[in-house]
Amino acid sequence: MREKSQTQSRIPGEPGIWAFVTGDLLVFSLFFILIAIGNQEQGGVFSSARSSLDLRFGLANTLLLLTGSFFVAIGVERYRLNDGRDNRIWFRLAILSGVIFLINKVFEWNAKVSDGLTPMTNDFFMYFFVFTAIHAIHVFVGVVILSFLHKKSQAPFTRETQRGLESGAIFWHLVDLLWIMLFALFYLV
Amino acid sequence: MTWAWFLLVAVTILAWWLAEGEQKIAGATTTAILLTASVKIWIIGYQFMELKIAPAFLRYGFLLWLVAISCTLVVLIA
Repeated sequence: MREKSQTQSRIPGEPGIWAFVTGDLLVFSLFFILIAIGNQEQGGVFSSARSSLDLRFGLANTLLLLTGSFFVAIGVERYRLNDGRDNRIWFRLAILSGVIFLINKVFEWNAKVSDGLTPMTNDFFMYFFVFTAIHAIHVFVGVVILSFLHKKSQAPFTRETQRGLESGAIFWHLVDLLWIMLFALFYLV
Repeated sequence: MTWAWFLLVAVTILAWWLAEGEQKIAGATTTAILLTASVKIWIIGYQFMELKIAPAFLRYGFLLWLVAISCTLVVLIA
């Protein structure tokens, strides 16, 4: 019986969050394709610009978001267990990972601008600054949402709160997965 | 859940190692890096976004998007 209930299919979170996820994936797909086309048409410029990025910033931010996602997933799972334990720590840790990500990003942008590399330098840096800024706005919104989840995670268990927590968590994971591809395209390929 | 996080970190380190590698094999390395990114995205979707319990249209819709964008990027870049 227990096994049957675990394998029952349902939409995680509110259905509306998946409409938002779909829209955001399509918009970012366009960004990814623009970077790829730029890379194809201006290989030398992109390769040289890419080598001036500090891979350590990108790697640290990737590990921060992956770990933040892990914490949020644990927080949501613990809420569903409904065992009366205080699970706010998981949301606090995820918020911390998001805040450190943003601080790290500001340091990275600042270092590039100090080196004379701005969105006006070439197409690579235009995409780099614009797309990572749009992504950083997502991280900021995600941190605000996580602050609400932090509060909600203490509420008594209800299906409505569960769906709210799941929806907020899905947004945070979306922020994580969008960064994964930006990291690969800007720093690694 | 924990296995997913370990796997994601391991794949990230693998992609970093490929990117930093002394002997890059242009197309193959790029393809491998993009594929590791796609694998990570699938793990995040399946495990953390809980597509594993979602109805088939959502799970396969996400997979279809991932395959389409990954193939497009590999064709354009690799």
